[in-house]
Amino acid sequence: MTLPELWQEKILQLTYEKQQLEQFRQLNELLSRGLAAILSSEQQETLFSKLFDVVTHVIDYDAILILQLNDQQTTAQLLACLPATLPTADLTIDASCPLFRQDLNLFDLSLLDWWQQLLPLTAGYKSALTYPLHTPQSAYTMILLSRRIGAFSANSAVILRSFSTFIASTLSQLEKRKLQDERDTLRAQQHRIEQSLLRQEKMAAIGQLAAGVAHELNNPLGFIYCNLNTLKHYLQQYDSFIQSSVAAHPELIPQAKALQLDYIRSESKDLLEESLEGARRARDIINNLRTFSHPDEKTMQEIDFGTLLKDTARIAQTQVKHNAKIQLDLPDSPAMVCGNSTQLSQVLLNLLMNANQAITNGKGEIRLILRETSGLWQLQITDNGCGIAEHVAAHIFEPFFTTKPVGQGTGLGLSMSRAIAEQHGGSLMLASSGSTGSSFVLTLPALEQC
Amino acid sequence: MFNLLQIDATDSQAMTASLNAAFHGKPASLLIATGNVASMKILQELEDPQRFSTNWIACSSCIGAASSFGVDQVSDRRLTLLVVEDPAGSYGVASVVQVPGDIVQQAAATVKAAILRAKRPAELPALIWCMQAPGYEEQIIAGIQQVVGDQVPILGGSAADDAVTGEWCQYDGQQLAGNLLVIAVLYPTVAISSYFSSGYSTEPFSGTVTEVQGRRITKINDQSALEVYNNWLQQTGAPQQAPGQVMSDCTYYPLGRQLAAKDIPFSLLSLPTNIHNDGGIETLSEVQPGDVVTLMSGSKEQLVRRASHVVRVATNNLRLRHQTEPAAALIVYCAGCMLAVRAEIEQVQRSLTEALPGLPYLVAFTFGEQGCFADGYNRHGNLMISAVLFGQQHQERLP
Repeated sequence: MTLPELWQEKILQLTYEKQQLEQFRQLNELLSRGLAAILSSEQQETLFSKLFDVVTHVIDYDAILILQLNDQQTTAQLLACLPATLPTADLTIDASCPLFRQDLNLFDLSLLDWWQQLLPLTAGYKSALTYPLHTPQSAYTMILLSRRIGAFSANSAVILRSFSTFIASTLSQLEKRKLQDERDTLRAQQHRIEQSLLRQEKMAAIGQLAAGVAHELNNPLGFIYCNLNTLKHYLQQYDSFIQSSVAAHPELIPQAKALQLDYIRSESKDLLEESLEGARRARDIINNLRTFSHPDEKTMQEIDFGTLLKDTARIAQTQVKHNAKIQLDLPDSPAMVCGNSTQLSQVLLNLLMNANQAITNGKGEIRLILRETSGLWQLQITDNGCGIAEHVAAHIFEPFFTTKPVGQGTGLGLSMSRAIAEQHGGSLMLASSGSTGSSFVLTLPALEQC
Repeated sequence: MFNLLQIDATDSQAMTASLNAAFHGKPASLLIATGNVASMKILQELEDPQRFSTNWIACSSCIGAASSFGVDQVSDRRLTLLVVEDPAGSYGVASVVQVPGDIVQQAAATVKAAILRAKRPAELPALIWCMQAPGYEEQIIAGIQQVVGDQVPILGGSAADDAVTGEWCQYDGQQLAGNLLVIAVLYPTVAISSYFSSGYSTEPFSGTVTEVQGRRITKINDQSALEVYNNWLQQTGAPQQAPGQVMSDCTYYPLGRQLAAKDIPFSLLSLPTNIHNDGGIETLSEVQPGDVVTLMSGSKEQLVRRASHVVRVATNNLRLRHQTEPAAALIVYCAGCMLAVRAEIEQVQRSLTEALPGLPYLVAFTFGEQGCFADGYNRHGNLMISAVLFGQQHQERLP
């Protein structure tokens, strides 16, 4: 063998060995790029997209996907794929399916009946390289697909095997992150529950205080009201006597004029009427406070829902009046329902407060329309506030869901309101929401349906 | 997991006794066997060979086999078997009687059947091992690759006899014939590495093949192939050839086709076996019109050294890729090369034993070699040497 030939042979041999070393280089590149992908990805979808892109640099494939086995090991779902056009329906896993147990280098998928049945979504692909991944939480399998027969070499399988360990570790980290998120959510919920309990205790104390104050005020208010009525009757007698005296004795007229008796009579009447009206309003407020401050009152009784609506609106008015106008559109006849006035009042107050909080410009309108339709009383509460974002709207009836900072909202209002509505045989739903405001519909069975 | 057996092939009774003594009723996962034609022929008288293994693949070797036991002589009546016992792996063998004109389809169907017998449908084997009658090796590779693609190494050799008289034979565990294609697919539990190489130098004489008839080159540069070949031989100082059987005379001066593996040029050899009266040169591998052929030259020293060199490269590959040492080897050594160094063949065997100390290995001397080059492509060539090395099983970690 000549020297050049010896060199050529040596180079050929070194080339062969270089291919083996190239495998390690490719693997190192995969791990390095994979690490960069993990570090630069916030979302799971972005992470997988980047990891798939990393694999493209060292293994030639046409599609890649990761399947996750469910806890019962009966179905698998597509966790991620590239291209993203692969169908995402759940796949039924047969016990004989080896995908989650062993790595496979499959040269012709059309020869496998189980593959065709299990993964019709891979139709059009001829060969596959698969590798199972196991984490403490779940089982996965990574699948590379090619449109060529026998596209994947043993070398590709070795690289994928090594990289799969890395992917499994990544999945494990994601699971950990998910668990941490769940833990954080639970902690936030726990915090809200504690806040809610505190608030309920506070409300109960306030309720007791309000009931006590209402009771104490009721007595003096009673005799004020009673005395004013008596005084009114006395004044009527005085007035009648003065009128008849002046008519019988015309010489009293100048004196009466000097004393402005006509003005005094008229003014006294107005003053008395205003005082009576004030006393009536004070009585109503106390009655409303008593109704609202009895949270343990669970009895169902016949209620005029229209009256309850007016009373609750009046209570809400004190908070709403600087921000919005409450407009009531009620039927002429009583809207009788069978229910617990305290609970229903709580629902109405909650809806009114939410509507008020949605209005930030001080020019709000909250419109309440009550109508009977097919044996149901339907109350539509519409505001012209900021509306509810679509992604938020999907969760507003979930317990402990709130857009308010921790400590400022329990996230229980709407969920409890819906629960109360449903306990009454009715419903509560978000009818519409947009940039011009939101509209909720509360439905309760009319009394005949109770 | 790997054992090497030498069994008596004096007659069927002796062979059965040898096999019974070796197997004790426990069938092997795969049996790869070789020996000279006379010894191989005893296999057809063997009763119930399936009890030793359901997967036999065997072909005749020129003069006999070589192995870690030694080198067969022409008068020896024995077969050498590499016994693979790997119950956790999968193996399948299928065969077909070769029908010229239909070889590609036959090879495709046969490899499919072997894969089904291994019970690994659609799963890419780690290695495909072929033993066939000489003449259609390229078509066999094409047929196999039609089914499994081009990512699996295909190695093996074509059966040989002692004097190129067509007495070669193949065996699949059921039948012995001179025109069988036997394909084994291997899914072992150990790593595999292989290397495929020749050991020849290029001479500064080359031309373009302008006419062929099958495996006969009739024109080079539009001139008589023999005239051109003799002209090249004359210029190198080698004796010229005349019509007739020339295989052993041409072993040191084959024709080479220049190929490139990862930008490194290398030669795929075609060994002239016969020269026809019309000046056509019959070779043991296919050459196509348009191929550039070069006069190659080899030497006894190269051929003696070559086999152990190929084994060492394969060993390095095994260490690099799989971090394991070899446990056994299958070697195919061109019969033409073996005949050229017949006096030194013991030296070749010793060098192999040095390269595979204490390990079982089996060498078949064949009339055509298939293998996977450094560029990853499977090819057929002459005067080639291939080695398949099986890695060691990883030890179970003790609790």
